[in-house]
Amino acid sequence: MMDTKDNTLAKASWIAGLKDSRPLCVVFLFVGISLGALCHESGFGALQAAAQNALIYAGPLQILIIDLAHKNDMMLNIVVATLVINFRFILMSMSLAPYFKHKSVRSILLALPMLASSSFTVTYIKCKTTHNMDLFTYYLGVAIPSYAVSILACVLGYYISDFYHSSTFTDIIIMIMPLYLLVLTAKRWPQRAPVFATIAGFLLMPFGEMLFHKMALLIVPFIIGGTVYVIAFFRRRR
Amino acid sequence: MLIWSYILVAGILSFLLRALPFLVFTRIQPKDDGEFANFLDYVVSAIIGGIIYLMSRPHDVLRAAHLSAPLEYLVMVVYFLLVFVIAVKLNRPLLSFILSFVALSALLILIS
Repeated sequence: MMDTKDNTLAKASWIAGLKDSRPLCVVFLFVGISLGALCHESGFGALQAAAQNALIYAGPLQILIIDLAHKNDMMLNIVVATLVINFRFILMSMSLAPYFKHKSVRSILLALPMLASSSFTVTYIKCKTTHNMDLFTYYLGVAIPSYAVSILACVLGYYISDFYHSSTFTDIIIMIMPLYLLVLTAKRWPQRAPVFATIAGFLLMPFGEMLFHKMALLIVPFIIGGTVYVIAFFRRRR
Repeated sequence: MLIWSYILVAGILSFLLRALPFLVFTRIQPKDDGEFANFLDYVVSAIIGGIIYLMSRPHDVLRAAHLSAPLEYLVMVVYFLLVFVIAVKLNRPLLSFILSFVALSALLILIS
């Protein structure tokens, strides 16, 4: 009886994840094609382009690595860039850990290469707004299609790079992602503190970039998070 | 060979950064409503805001929406805040998303 209930919940969560992954897949199709074309222009092989997408799966770092490989840069720079740019994944995994605690570590580790900023945001907001759901299965529903589309699109982009040129149309399509994440953030209202933190992150990031350059996504969220935490803490005490 | 070593080093490090909290938290079971969880929630929420900004900026859809072009930056901020308010008021994410996307496309046609 319990198993049937669990299976029904898992199936519903998987389908909900698949539905929510649709906008991500559309964007990843175009981003993947652009990255594949860029890999081709920079002297990567098709397998290297696909492997880069599958193993790293973080757009900003992938673009930087293509650039550093083109310049034959030092390995130390790759290490530092990876730690700085992808440090956010530690925080993202920390936030998801309490919601995945009933799953085995092995299945979580197998699913982790598919964790990207977009699949994290969609899953995290679901964690914060829904209670009756198998959140790990939901995450798989979001992450698997977008991961697969991203890799396939990268290979496609590699082979059609001579015919493919980024256009305003592509740029508009890519805007789907931030709009989708913003609309999902609105689902957290009226939880004011996290919503204000998101809005502050959006508004202050350009200033953070001016001050901290590539470290902005590492430093600015801690400043905002700390400030919002202190304000919320004293409001609760009052 | 050099490209493969770059990919492997960056890939392994990226995986470790993703996996570390899960490996640590199998021993320490964090409370999902404790003070640390609250702090982490605010930090991660700010990261989401930063990601929304960074994803919308490099493609320059709204004509160089950054600080060297303050008016365009302001247009982008107003547009995103309006989308947010509409999404809260409608309470229907998909409809809000479609409406905001159509509005953006119309805005771009007007600009060009």
